[in-house]
Amino acid sequence: MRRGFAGVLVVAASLTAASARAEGPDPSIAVVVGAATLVAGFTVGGALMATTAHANPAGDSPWDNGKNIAGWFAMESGFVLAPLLAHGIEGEWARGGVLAAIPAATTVATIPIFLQTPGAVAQATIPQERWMLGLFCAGMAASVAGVVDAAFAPGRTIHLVPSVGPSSAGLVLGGEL
Amino acid sequence: MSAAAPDPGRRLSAIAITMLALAPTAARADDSLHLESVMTRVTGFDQFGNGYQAQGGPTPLSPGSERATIFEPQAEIVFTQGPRWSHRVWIPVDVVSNASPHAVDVLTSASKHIVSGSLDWTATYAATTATAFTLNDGLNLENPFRSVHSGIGFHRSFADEATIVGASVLDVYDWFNRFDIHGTPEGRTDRNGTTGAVSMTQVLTPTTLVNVNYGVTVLAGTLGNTWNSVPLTTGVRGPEILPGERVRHALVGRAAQWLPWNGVLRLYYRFYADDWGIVAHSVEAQVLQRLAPEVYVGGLYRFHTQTGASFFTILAPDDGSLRVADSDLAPLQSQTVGGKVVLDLPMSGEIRTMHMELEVERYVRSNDLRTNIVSWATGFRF
Repeated sequence: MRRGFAGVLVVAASLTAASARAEGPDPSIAVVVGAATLVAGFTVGGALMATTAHANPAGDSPWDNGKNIAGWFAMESGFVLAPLLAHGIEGEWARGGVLAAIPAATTVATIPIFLQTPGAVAQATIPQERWMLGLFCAGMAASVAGVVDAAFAPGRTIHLVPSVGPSSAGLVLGGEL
Repeated sequence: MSAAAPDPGRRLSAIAITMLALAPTAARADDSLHLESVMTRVTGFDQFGNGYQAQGGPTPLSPGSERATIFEPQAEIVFTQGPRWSHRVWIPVDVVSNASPHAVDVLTSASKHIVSGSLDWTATYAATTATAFTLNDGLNLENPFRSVHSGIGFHRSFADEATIVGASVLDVYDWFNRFDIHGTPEGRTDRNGTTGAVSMTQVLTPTTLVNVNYGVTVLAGTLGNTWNSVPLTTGVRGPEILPGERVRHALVGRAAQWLPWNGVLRLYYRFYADDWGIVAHSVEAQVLQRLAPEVYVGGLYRFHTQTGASFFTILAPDDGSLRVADSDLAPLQSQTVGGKVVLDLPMSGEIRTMHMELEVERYVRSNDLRTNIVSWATGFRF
């Protein structure tokens, strides 16, 4: 099992290692895909939450909570996917995964608030609201930074990748020298 | 490696997975940061007037005061990141008097003023010399209102930049506290607005530039501030009753003409229409005149006219039908007259230019609103 796992690591290293990138995908495609993903999630989520908006409590319904939760996490899902897909276009799935970790963490950190108060979008306490908004904005900022980073992929021509084999472990230096 | 012995392989694997993801690079694209400019501006708005959406008049049905003083410092920082990215960070801060729903509570002065701030980040990627993509994200925080936005845009030039076409999408999500017309808090509500726009800029002659822009905005959710009130025929006030959606169209035309005596004439026209019944026309003329290599002055005149929302009223029946008394949605005309002096002083060293600007405007509206606006800007270009 240990050998098999190490073997998987070697394969994964090979697949995610950035090869010589003189003819790599156009980074502007990565930027557009990332930005569009971010905006799409934001728009879908915001529109979904707006469908439950009421100017006074008489219009509120218990059914609003599900839509609001779905909308909030749709927006945050866009923050997670944006840097991941942008880097995926450039073949940097692992790097995209790492850069998506911050928005992913802020999204996960929001879950306890909704578990405690399912109607948080409409009825959050002030401390809850501050956490929701703070995590939301941190995730959004990290997502944008991640998309920006994807544009620099062509410059990452030389890679240093760990290699793990059945009876050995080391580092592999590859790419254009 | 036996199963009973300590397993460095597992630790190594965990480290390898992390290192895999963050594989360090020996050579990378230039991503160095370079500061291009820093601009600061302070603007003061001194507003006088009355509106039927506000309480506090001599009778429940009288218009209330719209008196407000707004002080807005702001900063704009532009920097480049490598040869292709440029970033603009804009930070305005508003200090507003008498603008919160707590103002309806005359027993306390806790809300005599409100401080709000915004952060707007626009990142532009020059894909080629002719094509660029823009990411625009930001937030606005104030009591009791929070707003976040996210957008993407692109523009492409043709014929040696004689023609530039562009398109953009922007979504704004507002999340704000809900109050009744007496100031009682009632949780939160929200709204969402999505705007799509297309534009074209064309160089007509070596001295003439024109631009056309069309945008459509779809708004949904709670489209008022929830505490505006409407005078009722029953002798008391009731809350606004607004539609849950609004579709807005705006068509804008601009022209800029260089004048042979070292001046510039800028013309602007906007046609606006929405499904609340408002149709508006705005025209503006601005003349800029260079007096010396470092100094130019400008003057502007703007005229705006609009029909009111189809459900605008200053006295509504209490029958549950749509109603609004907000003076911004009333039939009105407005005029703005203003002028400015701009100084661009060449500097030595790291700072290329120091920019200073003083602008004064007077805004007068036909439905009892007047605003004096003074703005001072200082900035540096590197």
